[in-house]
Amino acid sequence: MSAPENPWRVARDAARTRADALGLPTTALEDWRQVRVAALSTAIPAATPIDDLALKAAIAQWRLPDLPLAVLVNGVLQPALSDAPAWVRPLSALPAVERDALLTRWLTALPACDVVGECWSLADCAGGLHLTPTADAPSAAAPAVQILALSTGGSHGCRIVITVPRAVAAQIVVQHVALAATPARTCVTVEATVADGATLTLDELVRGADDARQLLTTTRATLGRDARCHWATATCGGALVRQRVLIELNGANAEADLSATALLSDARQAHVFTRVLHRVGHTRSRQLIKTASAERSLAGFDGVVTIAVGADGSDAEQQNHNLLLSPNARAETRPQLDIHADEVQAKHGATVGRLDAEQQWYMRARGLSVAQADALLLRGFLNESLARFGTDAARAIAVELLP
Amino acid sequence: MLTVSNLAVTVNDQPVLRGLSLRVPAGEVHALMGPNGAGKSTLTKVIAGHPAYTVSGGSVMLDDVDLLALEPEARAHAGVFIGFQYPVEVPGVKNSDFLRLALNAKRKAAGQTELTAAQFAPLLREKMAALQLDETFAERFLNAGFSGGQKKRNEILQMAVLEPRLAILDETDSGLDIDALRIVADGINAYRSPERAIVLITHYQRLLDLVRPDRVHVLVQGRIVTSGGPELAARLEREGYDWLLNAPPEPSTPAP
Repeated sequence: MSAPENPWRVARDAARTRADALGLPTTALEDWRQVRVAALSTAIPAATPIDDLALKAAIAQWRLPDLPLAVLVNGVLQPALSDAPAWVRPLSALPAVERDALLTRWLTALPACDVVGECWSLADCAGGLHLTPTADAPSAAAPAVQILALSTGGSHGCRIVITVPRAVAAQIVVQHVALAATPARTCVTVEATVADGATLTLDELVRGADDARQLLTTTRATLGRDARCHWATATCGGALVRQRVLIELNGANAEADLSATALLSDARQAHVFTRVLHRVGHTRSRQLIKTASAERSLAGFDGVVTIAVGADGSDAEQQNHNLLLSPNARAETRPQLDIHADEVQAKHGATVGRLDAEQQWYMRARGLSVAQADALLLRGFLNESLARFGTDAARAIAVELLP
Repeated sequence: MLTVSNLAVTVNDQPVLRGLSLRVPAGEVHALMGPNGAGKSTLTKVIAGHPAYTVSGGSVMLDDVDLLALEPEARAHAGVFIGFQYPVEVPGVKNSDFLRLALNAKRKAAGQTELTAAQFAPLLREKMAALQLDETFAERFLNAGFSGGQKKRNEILQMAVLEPRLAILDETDSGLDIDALRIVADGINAYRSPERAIVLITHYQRLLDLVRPDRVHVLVQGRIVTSGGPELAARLEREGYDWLLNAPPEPSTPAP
């Protein structure tokens, strides 16, 4: 009698097969039209071994103060280096029933998955996390954790499953930190279920060695009645940073607030791809994406808000504003509304421009140099989206991105 | 203090200032009046170094400093302050951050140590109190969402913080209600000193009732056509500019 197959291996192999069938994305694909996809063709060397001393130094450098910590190294939880609460568990610790349900769902979804990054996030997933935030006591502070996702190079994937129970407000900060200066690829898929009356605050920071980094993330959240999801991210880009956020507002009074900030230089690129579905009425979504691009960098935004048939009373806003700081910098923007209900409020706006010469001159007339004026104007421009970070610690780090 | 000699300025190749001369000694307040389009705001922007204006002749000196040879920020460091007619709005930049940076830029240029946020805060509070500005003013974004009157008071606050040697206030009285006008006038009067000079650009006598000028100049079609004492402003208030527009221009000479 042969040994039963490892179910994780089965899932990973299926994801690998699906990824291979999809192949690398090209600009012929509508969703990738704005992206410099050549970055994905870069050969990825194997992960660099890292000793405990270096790892501890990296953790000391990157961890945020006052938040319990879960350390992932190349997608694998490091319990000895973490002080995370008990509700943060590796996927391998899931009971068999839950594990099988999860893998069955993922395997069922694979044939229809046309996003190679999502396939890689499972194919290369050696660990992953499961979070079910719970407060220690009704009067206790909101459950919170920071996930320090360190990459030492190579290609790795990670799947993070978050279930926020009814009426719980959870704060989760994910820092994607690239330690290796060599080309590396990280694919992360976050699946969040936010129950009725629950709130998920999910702050993401993309930090570390930027130039060689490929980071492909998908964050998928479904919201119940009166649920809230606040997602914020800040990045300086990389060889390719692409963050997909898919939100389903499935219960009345559900609300999503998405914001992204990118400050790009050199030949880096960063893309935000959002799909927000108002499945039922009296739901609300806000999106604010602000970018500033210098030198030959590229900022991309592709967002669709869909208001389904019968979702009357929905209220949606989508704003994307981009600054170009040099003649060769680029910003691509595709804000889109897809409305199938009659009584809704929906608006969107997009701008691409340069720093305002009159504002700059006003500041110079008060004694600021051109560089000081530009830095202050840039800070002022990006402050609006940075202010939307839900946790003070993440916001403080995000502000450090600024000049 | 300020000596403008035969200043000629064009915008898009069109002459706007045509040999303007003006002298404002230290310790004095001069009023500059004139019909719309005479070139008053152009003069302020040229003195501050706006790049849209081309100086085709003449000079602007602050004591022995040739302002036209300096970058805009260096003019500010030399002691020039313009209270703009239409201050720009800068969302996202806090009033207090901007003011501290501006003051520190000036202090650095003068070889003084820069102020920390903690050192600057009481100074700003003191200046705001003098202008009866709410403390939240400091935390608001620079002019963003301000009423016309609030913007003008914010300009006076900047002047009070930066303590320039020469302040040129372009229609600072427009948009102010009666109480705000009195507060701003008090701020200007408090700023008067033997070491400083002020130029008030205005259309109305009401500001000059509160800030008594030493001299009044009338600018028409890009040059000073007449100068006099405070009684000249009173006459303009009564009779308007027609008597000047219909009269042959006087030779443009520096005011005494």
